[in-house]
Amino acid sequence: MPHVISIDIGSTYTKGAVFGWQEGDKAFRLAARAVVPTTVNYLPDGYRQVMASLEELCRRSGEPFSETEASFADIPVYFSSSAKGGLNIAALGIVPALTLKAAKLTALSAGGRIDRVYAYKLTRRDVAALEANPPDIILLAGGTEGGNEVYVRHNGKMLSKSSVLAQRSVLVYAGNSVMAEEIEEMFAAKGFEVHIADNIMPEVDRTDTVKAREIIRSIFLDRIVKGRGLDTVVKEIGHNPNPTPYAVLRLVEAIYLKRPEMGEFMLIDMGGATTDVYSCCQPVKSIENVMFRGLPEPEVKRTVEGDLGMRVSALSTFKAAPYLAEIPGMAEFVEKVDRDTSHIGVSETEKSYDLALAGACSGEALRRHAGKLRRVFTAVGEAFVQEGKDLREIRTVIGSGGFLSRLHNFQIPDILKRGNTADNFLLVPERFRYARDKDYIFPLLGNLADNYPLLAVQTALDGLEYSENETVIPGVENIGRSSSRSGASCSCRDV
Amino acid sequence: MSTENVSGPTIVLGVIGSDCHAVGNAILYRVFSEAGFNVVNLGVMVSQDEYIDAAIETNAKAILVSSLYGQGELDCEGLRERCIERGIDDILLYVGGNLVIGKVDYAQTEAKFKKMGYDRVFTPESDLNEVIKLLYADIKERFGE
Repeated sequence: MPHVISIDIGSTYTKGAVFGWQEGDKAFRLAARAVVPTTVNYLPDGYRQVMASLEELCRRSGEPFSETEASFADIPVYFSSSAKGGLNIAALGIVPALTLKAAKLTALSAGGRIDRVYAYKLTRRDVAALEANPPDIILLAGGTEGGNEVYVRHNGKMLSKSSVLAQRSVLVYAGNSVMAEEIEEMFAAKGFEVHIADNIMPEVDRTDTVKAREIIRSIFLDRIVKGRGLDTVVKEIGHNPNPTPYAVLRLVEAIYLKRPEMGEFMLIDMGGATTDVYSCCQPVKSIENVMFRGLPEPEVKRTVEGDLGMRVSALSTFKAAPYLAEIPGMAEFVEKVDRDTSHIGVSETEKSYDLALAGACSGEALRRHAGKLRRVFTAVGEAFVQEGKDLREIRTVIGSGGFLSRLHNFQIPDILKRGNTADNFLLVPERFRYARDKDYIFPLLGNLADNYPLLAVQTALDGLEYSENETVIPGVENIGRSSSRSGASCSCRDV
Repeated sequence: MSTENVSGPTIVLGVIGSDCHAVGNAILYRVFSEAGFNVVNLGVMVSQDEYIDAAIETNAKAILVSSLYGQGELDCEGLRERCIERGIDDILLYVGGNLVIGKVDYAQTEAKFKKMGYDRVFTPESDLNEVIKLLYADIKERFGE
């Protein structure tokens, strides 16, 4: 029986699993799994510990290895590393809803984390802030093809004169290509590392993020590999790691492509520091009286909320969800886990606090991921303007991450309704089954999604445990659909 | 698209969105042409990008947007942002017509459109001679011509 090993070197834990399969199998068989604390100062130690545990577990269980697997070291290994939760990217664009939004989408879909964003012209104060705390990557965008040059030139000058790139940051230019040479020269003259990508917004209504994503991912690999001995692991394994969030994105994409019967779905991956949301759905439903505004949304979309998480970000979650303060004792609990981020809720009361935190993280992250619908009145009657993604027809929401994977019968709370008013509606899923990634196996399977897509997808789906009841978010159904027009149509005939 | 070879500043004119009120457009074209402007008239049912395309190609100093069917607010929002991304951040934007539905106070409408980045906002009652004077003055102030 052939085998494959997947390892994820996270910021807290190094996890690994051995999968076996046979010709004709639809899914992997989990042969062994192991987890050790990440050896932060020298990553190869933790990696070797996990490999040793996996080997020992396989030996003890008498795992049947195939002829080509004479020793454990012959089994192919795929691995990912999160590099402290992902690379920090500062995104620069001109108009917030146009090139800046395109830059944010690009950074997130490359597996990065948005550190800071800047619209229009950088000020000296902005540059000082960047110098004080340089991001890994500065993604500089702006202008359509043949369009604006002024802002990009200004921002390029400001950055090339600063010490940001000398300290740490790498510049990726993905704006108006007319400016590409000038930008390249501006930075190369100072000896700074600069990468030129295709314009991420060649026309106002179109984005093209492929090249920029590729560049960001290769910088990402470069950065994580150089740090803390990971190059040794790369030498042992013989190839580069995936950034962890990118691995999960690949798995989500593979599920969406290979299992159309699964329908539209989302994944909420909640950790101690961030909450990542992935959605797979048609961004705009064809509804006659809905007009779409803004940049086109990707069918597979990832967002990262750096202020929402169970531990490192507990305090900022508490601030982002004001209703948490109404729970007696909650503030004290948040302070406690903020001081000791390894604290695990033990008593029933503490568990209820954790549950409330999880609800706030997932609900708020989902709310931010979702698009909005705004009611307007036109000469021909009521109509709606949509911005962002319409998630209403999503029927499955998957929960992953250390906390959600262990939690039975989790309910995403009804804070989702809070954004709704008489004329503004959040386009969140209206009725869905919640399913947990019960073995917390998604990140490990993500590493295998490129080479074993069908097996990885089926194993991921087999590992889901669905909640018994459907979750219904009232108040969003049918708004903006043809059937809702009967009540309030043509109220403006006298114009 | 029709242009005339005159020496005055170039402006782009058209009725935005799905609006096909052609008569007013023909009148504006004539009045502004006679006032010495080089008018690039895009006619009716003009999209935001069509205005910008024409303005870039002709190095226009102003875009004059008309909207008569009450849906102006929807059609007009985002035009300034598009102008910026496409490199004509300093172009003058004028808008006029029946911009909103119902009897809404003009000051309120003006404030709304100015917030959207329009430099001047007019009603159907605006005196075209006044508009022409303002347009010459604004062009002179912004471009020194």
